[in-house]
Amino acid sequence: MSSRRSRSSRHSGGSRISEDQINDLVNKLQQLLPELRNRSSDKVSASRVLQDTCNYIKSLHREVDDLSDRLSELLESSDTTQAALIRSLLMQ
Amino acid sequence: MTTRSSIIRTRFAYRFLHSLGKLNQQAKTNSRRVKHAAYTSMASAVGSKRAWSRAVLSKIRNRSLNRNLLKKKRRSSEESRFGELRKLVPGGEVMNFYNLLDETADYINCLTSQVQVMKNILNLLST
Repeated sequence: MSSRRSRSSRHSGGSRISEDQINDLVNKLQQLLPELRNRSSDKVSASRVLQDTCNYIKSLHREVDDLSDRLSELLESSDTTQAALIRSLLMQ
Repeated sequence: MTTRSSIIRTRFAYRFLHSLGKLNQQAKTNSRRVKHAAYTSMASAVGSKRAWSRAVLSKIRNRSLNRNLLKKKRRSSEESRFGELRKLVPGGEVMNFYNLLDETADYINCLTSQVQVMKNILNLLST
């Protein structure tokens, strides 16, 4: 049993990774997803977790897009007060 | 974990505000530059400990080199099944499956922090 464990190194690309290790990570991912966080892990399939993970990352990317739009508009229209505010934030 | 993420948040906020300050001095600020500054600031806040942040930083440093690396390594059998996730996580196309999941978890944590801090900055500047 111990030999099996030592073989499953997490770093090298070619080595075997045990199913348990993968399951642990899938569970960890599930805990990060707002929609699946509160469900019991045996009721959610791994492929569902992976699909929702993709959707969640895409929604976060969209949020960054949207926030970047709004921040750039704000900076574009910014007067000296806002520039001063940014500077004052940097001084801390 | 909570201390690590709060350190990352602070580092990100500092770097991002610094970039915004620089962008603000330039004549034209556009949304693409702000977005670029946000992703770069987060990768730089995380540093070189993570594969995804290394991928973001090296993509900025050398785009063509990175593209060649992708071509060479793109032949995993899992590739088609997890293709979408691989494309969403920076550097994901060259990772083994275990590392891909591990990096994804870290990437999600950092992205949520990034979004939160960007929201805070926006609120602060809008008031």
